[in-house]
Amino acid sequence: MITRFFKPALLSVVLTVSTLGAAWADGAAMLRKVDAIRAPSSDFSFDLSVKTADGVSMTMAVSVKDGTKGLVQYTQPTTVKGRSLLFVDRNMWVFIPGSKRALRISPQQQILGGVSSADVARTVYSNDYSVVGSDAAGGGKETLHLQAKSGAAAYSAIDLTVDVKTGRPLEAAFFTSGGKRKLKTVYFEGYKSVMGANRPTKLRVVDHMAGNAVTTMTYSGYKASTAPGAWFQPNYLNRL
Amino acid sequence: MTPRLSPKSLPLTFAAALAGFAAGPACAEPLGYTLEGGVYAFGQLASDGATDLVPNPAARGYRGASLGADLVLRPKVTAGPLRFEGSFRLRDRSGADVTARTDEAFVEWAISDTVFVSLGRRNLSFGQSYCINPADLFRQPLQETRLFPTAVSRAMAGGVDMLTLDVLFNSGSSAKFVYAPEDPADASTPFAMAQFSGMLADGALDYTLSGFSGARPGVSLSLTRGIGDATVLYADASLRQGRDRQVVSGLAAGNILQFAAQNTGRFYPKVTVGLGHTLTNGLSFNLELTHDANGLSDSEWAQAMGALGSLTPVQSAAAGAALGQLNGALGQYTQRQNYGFMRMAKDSLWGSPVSLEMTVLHGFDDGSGSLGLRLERPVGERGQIGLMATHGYGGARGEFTQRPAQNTLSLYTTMSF
Repeated sequence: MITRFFKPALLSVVLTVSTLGAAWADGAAMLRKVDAIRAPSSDFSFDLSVKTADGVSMTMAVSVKDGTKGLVQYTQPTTVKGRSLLFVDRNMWVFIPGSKRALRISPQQQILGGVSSADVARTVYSNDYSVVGSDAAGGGKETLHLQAKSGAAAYSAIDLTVDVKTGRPLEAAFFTSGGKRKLKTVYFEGYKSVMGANRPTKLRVVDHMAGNAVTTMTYSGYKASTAPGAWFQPNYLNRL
Repeated sequence: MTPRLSPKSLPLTFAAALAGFAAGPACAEPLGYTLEGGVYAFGQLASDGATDLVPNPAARGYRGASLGADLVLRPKVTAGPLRFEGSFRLRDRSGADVTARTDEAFVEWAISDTVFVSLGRRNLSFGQSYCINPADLFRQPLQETRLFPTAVSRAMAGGVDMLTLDVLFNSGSSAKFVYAPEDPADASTPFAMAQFSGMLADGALDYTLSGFSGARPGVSLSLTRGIGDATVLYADASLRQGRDRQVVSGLAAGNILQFAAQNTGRFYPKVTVGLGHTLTNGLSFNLELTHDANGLSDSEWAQAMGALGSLTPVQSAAAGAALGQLNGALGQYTQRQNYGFMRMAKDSLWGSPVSLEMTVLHGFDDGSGSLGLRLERPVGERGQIGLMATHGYGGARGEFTQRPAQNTLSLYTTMSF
């Protein structure tokens, strides 16, 4: 009797877990595809323009090394020109010419509008987040539920909506405090052929903590980078 | 301490610069040239009430209302592996002559992608602490115009003539060697430093360890640690031989101040531990605690204040001279041993471009302190306009209430080009 009851139950649990496991594995593969679209290679550089709805803008030149290290050089406006930012994994430092030294900052520190240092620095999600589930979003889309691998990630959770056929990221909602509070939503737009693939060149950031204020990040000038690895450290920032 | 245009080293710098730029490798490379700069102007209203230490503020140069402006030109020239950077300042202050100063002028030669040698005047800074930073060995706080934000005021301290060698490693660590013919704390002594910086745990922890000789030799250590996505813990510490404080031991007949012998053999620790945190709404704050064994103890402060109370008659020339002497002896940014500092800042207030900064520097030894409030907003793409108010609080013999200008209101503007 017991055996007759438990066998189907056990089978259904095993099937459910294996189905979920397969879905998560598919989700992880899809996340890698998303990352490959956002980051053309492990070493590359690009120009970034950040603009708020009221016209305040900032431009910067970004160089990425090994997919996890980056140098960000502010180029406009004149008031911030000469500032630079270093990220090594999930750690960040800023150099402000007048302060004469590199200071460690947290990824939460804002750059402009709803855009934080982490939004500029982290171009791939799979380093910081794991896929813990997914839902069909209709119209050939799927929403991947991402959870931070550690407390050092910039956000606690992300709901990433992806075009299943192409793997293109379409929309990402960022959450904090155990996924309870939606901080911002990012829309991936302006797909263009860049370094051999169609990649988003415009990110529209809606900051839910500031009355849904919109900040736009525009990417251009992608190219392979040859910056030496030794430059990706705080003591190089004053030479940028 | 005013940065000096050292006759010993600066000609060397310019000779090196000229020789370098005229030399072979540079000629093959295109010359890069940029000229940047800024105008920093302010108007300040300050309470100029007399204190025990400064009974006649006007005679000591304190002003109820003052104006000032700095014009800074920063040329940068690159030619192949050579880079020249300069920072030249013209300063105008109410009631003073216009002065010119070279803050920085150095040539750096990139021997390879990872080895750099520089010669000339440089303004180097180390450590993470915002307020009292024991690891910032070249800092001269009294040279800064502190009503400007930290990002501007630190550069106002000027540089030191030096020779440097930097070696960067692929691991993210680096070594730095500095030789300065004149220690900024004592021009008769050369200064030399060896420093190593590194990272642990994929950059989650970074450290800088320095050993140095000079007027006050010793070691310093800086540590920073990222905690989660919003918190940074940090510590800056130094252990240096001798004191930079003059300790009043008493008042002899005729209003002559007596000073205790400096204990040059002993090492004095100075430590700041701090925490920085950023909230999801963009509000960030820093908390710092400092212990400076080199500062004046309760008994030493009581001696200084006791001497102040014993000056008789207050208006006499001898008393004035003693006060001047005491003023000079207390000529430090902070005088005592134990401090707490808090800073809160937000870049965008209620969605507007106005940024806010509030600071409190509190002296635990006598309960006095200083409050600061700053509001700043951009003007076009090149400028900032700001309002800065400060208030000193504490008892009559408190550290922060012994000087005039306890309350100030400043309007300033910075314009970059």
